[in-house]
Amino acid sequence: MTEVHDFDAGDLGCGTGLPREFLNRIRDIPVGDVLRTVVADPASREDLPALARMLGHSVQSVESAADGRLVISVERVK
Amino acid sequence: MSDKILFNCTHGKEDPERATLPFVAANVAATAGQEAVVVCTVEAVWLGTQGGTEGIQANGLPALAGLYGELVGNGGQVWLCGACTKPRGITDEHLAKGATIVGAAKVVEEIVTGAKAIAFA
Repeated sequence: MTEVHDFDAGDLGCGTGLPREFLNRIRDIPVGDVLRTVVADPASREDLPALARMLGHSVQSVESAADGRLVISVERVK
Repeated sequence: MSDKILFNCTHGKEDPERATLPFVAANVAATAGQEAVVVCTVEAVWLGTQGGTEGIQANGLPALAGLYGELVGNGGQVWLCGACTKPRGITDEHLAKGATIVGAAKVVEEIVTGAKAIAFA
Protein backbone atom coordinates (compact mmCIF):
# COMPACT_ATOMS: atom_id res chain seq x y z
CA MET A 1 0.00 0.00 0.00
CA THR A 2 1.63 3.22 -1.18
CA GLU A 3 1.84 5.85 1.50
CA VAL A 4 1.89 9.59 0.84
CA HIS A 5 4.20 11.69 2.99
CA ASP A 6 3.50 15.41 3.19
CA PHE A 7 6.22 18.06 3.12
CA ASP A 8 5.26 21.71 3.49
CA ALA A 9 8.25 23.56 2.05
CA GLY A 10 6.94 26.97 3.11
CA ASP A 11 9.01 29.69 1.47
CA LEU A 12 11.97 27.51 0.55
CA GLY A 13 13.14 27.87 -3.03
CA CYS A 14 16.04 27.10 -5.34
CA GLY A 15 18.39 29.60 -3.72
CA THR A 16 17.17 29.07 -0.17
CA GLY A 17 17.70 25.38 0.52
CA LEU A 18 14.81 23.56 -1.15
CA PRO A 19 16.92 21.12 -3.24
CA ARG A 20 18.85 19.88 -0.18
CA GLU A 21 15.69 19.63 1.93
CA PHE A 22 13.84 17.75 -0.82
CA LEU A 23 16.76 15.34 -1.12
CA ASN A 24 16.74 14.66 2.62
CA ARG A 25 12.97 14.18 2.74
CA ILE A 26 12.76 11.78 -0.19
CA ARG A 27 15.60 9.72 1.25
CA ASP A 28 13.60 9.44 4.49
CA ILE A 29 10.58 7.70 2.96
CA PRO A 30 10.40 4.06 1.87
CA VAL A 31 11.00 3.19 -1.78
CA GLY A 32 7.64 3.10 -3.52
CA ASP A 33 6.06 5.74 -1.32
CA VAL A 34 5.20 9.25 -2.48
CA LEU A 35 6.54 12.57 -1.18
CA ARG A 36 3.93 15.27 -1.63
CA THR A 37 5.59 18.69 -1.47
CA VAL A 38 3.67 21.95 -1.13
CA VAL A 39 5.71 24.94 -2.20
CA ALA A 40 5.15 28.66 -2.80
CA ASP A 41 8.21 29.28 -4.99
CA PRO A 42 7.06 29.52 -8.66
CA ALA A 43 10.43 28.25 -9.95
CA SER A 44 9.65 24.90 -8.33
CA ARG A 45 7.07 24.08 -11.00
CA GLU A 46 9.95 23.27 -13.34
CA ASP A 47 12.70 22.83 -10.80
CA LEU A 48 11.47 20.17 -8.38
CA PRO A 49 10.47 17.78 -11.18
CA ALA A 50 13.89 18.31 -12.81
CA LEU A 51 15.63 17.56 -9.52
CA ALA A 52 13.46 14.49 -8.93
CA ARG A 53 14.23 13.14 -12.41
CA MET A 54 17.96 13.67 -12.00
CA LEU A 55 17.77 11.74 -8.72
CA GLY A 56 16.01 8.89 -10.53
CA HIS A 57 12.53 9.35 -9.06
CA SER A 58 9.16 9.51 -10.76
CA VAL A 59 7.11 12.69 -10.89
CA GLN A 60 3.44 11.76 -10.38
CA SER A 61 1.81 15.17 -10.64
CA VAL A 62 2.27 18.93 -10.48
CA GLU A 63 -0.89 20.78 -9.45
CA SER A 64 -1.93 24.22 -8.32
CA ALA A 65 -3.50 24.44 -4.89
CA ALA A 66 -6.41 26.75 -4.12
CA ASP A 67 -4.11 29.15 -2.30
CA GLY A 68 -1.86 29.51 -5.37
CA ARG A 69 0.91 27.24 -4.10
CA LEU A 70 2.12 24.20 -6.00
CA VAL A 71 1.61 20.58 -4.96
CA ILE A 72 4.25 18.30 -6.47
CA SER A 73 4.03 14.55 -5.89
CA VAL A 74 7.08 12.38 -6.46
CA GLU A 75 7.38 8.62 -6.03
CA ARG A 76 10.65 7.43 -4.55
CA VAL A 77 11.98 4.92 -7.09
CA LYS A 78 15.36 4.05 -5.60
CA MET B 1 18.30 13.95 -24.78
CA SER B 2 18.39 17.75 -24.83
CA ASP B 3 19.33 19.55 -28.04
CA LYS B 4 18.90 22.96 -26.50
CA ILE B 5 21.41 25.78 -26.75
CA LEU B 6 21.40 27.90 -23.61
CA PHE B 7 22.50 31.53 -23.90
CA ASN B 8 23.17 33.16 -20.56
CA CYS B 9 22.21 36.76 -19.95
CA THR B 10 23.14 38.59 -16.76
CA HIS B 11 22.40 42.26 -17.43
CA GLY B 12 19.32 44.39 -17.91
CA LYS B 13 18.81 48.00 -18.90
CA GLU B 14 21.89 49.10 -16.96
CA ASP B 15 24.03 47.55 -19.73
CA PRO B 16 22.07 47.45 -23.00
CA GLU B 17 24.85 45.73 -24.92
CA ARG B 18 25.19 42.85 -22.46
CA ALA B 19 21.42 42.62 -22.21
CA THR B 20 20.94 42.43 -25.98
CA LEU B 21 23.78 40.27 -27.32
CA PRO B 22 22.50 36.97 -25.90
CA PHE B 23 19.15 37.63 -27.59
CA VAL B 24 20.88 38.40 -30.91
CA ALA B 25 22.69 35.07 -30.76
CA ALA B 26 19.68 33.11 -29.52
CA ASN B 27 17.63 34.51 -32.38
CA VAL B 28 20.23 33.33 -34.89
CA ALA B 29 20.00 29.86 -33.35
CA ALA B 30 16.21 29.83 -33.40
CA THR B 31 16.13 31.06 -37.00
CA ALA B 32 18.48 28.20 -37.86
CA GLY B 33 16.00 25.72 -36.44
CA GLN B 34 17.80 25.15 -33.14
CA GLU B 35 16.09 25.01 -29.74
CA ALA B 36 17.26 28.26 -28.19
CA VAL B 37 16.82 29.39 -24.60
CA VAL B 38 18.03 32.63 -23.04
CA VAL B 39 18.75 31.94 -19.36
CA CYS B 40 18.44 35.19 -17.44
CA THR B 41 20.06 35.73 -14.08
CA VAL B 42 20.66 38.77 -11.86
CA GLU B 43 19.34 41.97 -13.48
CA ALA B 44 18.49 40.20 -16.73
CA VAL B 45 15.42 38.65 -15.08
CA TRP B 46 13.64 41.97 -15.61
CA LEU B 47 13.84 41.35 -19.37
CA GLY B 48 11.35 38.50 -19.00
CA THR B 49 8.72 40.71 -17.41
CA GLN B 50 5.95 42.58 -19.23
CA GLY B 51 7.46 45.76 -20.64
CA GLY B 52 10.89 44.73 -19.38
CA THR B 53 12.65 45.10 -22.73
CA GLU B 54 11.11 48.42 -23.68
CA GLY B 55 13.54 51.20 -24.53
CA ILE B 56 16.65 49.00 -24.38
CA GLN B 57 18.81 49.58 -27.41
CA ALA B 58 22.57 49.31 -27.63
CA ASN B 59 24.65 51.12 -30.21
CA GLY B 60 24.87 48.97 -33.33
CA LEU B 61 22.32 46.39 -32.20
CA PRO B 62 18.57 46.04 -32.85
CA ALA B 63 16.09 47.12 -30.20
CA LEU B 64 15.81 44.41 -27.60
CA ALA B 65 12.01 44.41 -27.50
CA GLY B 66 11.88 43.43 -31.17
CA LEU B 67 14.51 40.73 -30.73
CA TYR B 68 12.66 39.28 -27.74
CA GLY B 69 9.43 39.07 -29.74
CA GLU B 70 11.22 37.51 -32.69
CA LEU B 71 12.90 34.90 -30.50
CA VAL B 72 9.66 33.80 -28.90
CA GLY B 73 7.92 33.86 -32.29
CA ASN B 74 10.66 31.54 -33.62
CA GLY B 75 10.01 29.03 -30.85
CA GLY B 76 12.70 30.27 -28.48
CA GLN B 77 12.25 30.42 -24.72
CA VAL B 78 13.34 32.75 -21.93
CA TRP B 79 14.06 31.26 -18.52
CA LEU B 80 14.36 33.46 -15.45
CA CYS B 81 16.41 32.37 -12.46
CA GLY B 82 14.05 31.83 -9.51
CA ALA B 83 16.66 32.84 -6.94
CA CYS B 84 16.96 36.15 -8.78
CA THR B 85 13.27 36.82 -9.42
CA LYS B 86 12.26 36.21 -5.81
CA PRO B 87 14.23 39.05 -4.13
CA ARG B 88 13.09 41.35 -6.95
CA GLY B 89 9.44 40.56 -6.27
CA ILE B 90 8.89 39.06 -9.71
CA THR B 91 6.23 36.31 -9.84
CA ASP B 92 4.36 34.42 -12.56
CA GLU B 93 1.83 37.23 -13.00
CA HIS B 94 4.55 39.67 -14.12
CA LEU B 95 5.96 37.50 -16.88
CA ALA B 96 6.12 38.43 -20.55
CA LYS B 97 5.07 35.89 -23.17
CA GLY B 98 7.66 33.15 -23.58
CA ALA B 99 9.21 33.58 -20.13
CA THR B 100 9.22 30.98 -17.34
CA ILE B 101 10.66 31.12 -13.84
CA VAL B 102 12.96 28.15 -13.29
CA GLY B 103 15.51 27.08 -10.74
CA ALA B 104 19.02 25.74 -11.09
CA ALA B 105 17.91 22.09 -11.20
CA LYS B 106 16.01 22.71 -14.41
CA VAL B 107 19.05 24.25 -16.10
CA VAL B 108 21.37 21.56 -14.74
CA GLU B 109 19.06 18.82 -16.00
CA GLU B 110 19.23 20.26 -19.51
CA ILE B 111 23.02 20.31 -19.40
CA VAL B 112 23.19 16.78 -17.98
CA THR B 113 20.97 15.54 -20.80
CA GLY B 114 23.09 17.14 -23.52
CA ALA B 115 22.25 20.84 -23.83
CA LYS B 116 25.09 23.21 -24.70
CA ALA B 117 25.67 26.59 -23.14
CA ILE B 118 27.47 29.67 -24.40
CA ALA B 119 28.09 33.11 -22.99
CA PHE B 120 28.09 35.88 -25.57
CA ALA B 121 28.23 38.64 -23.00
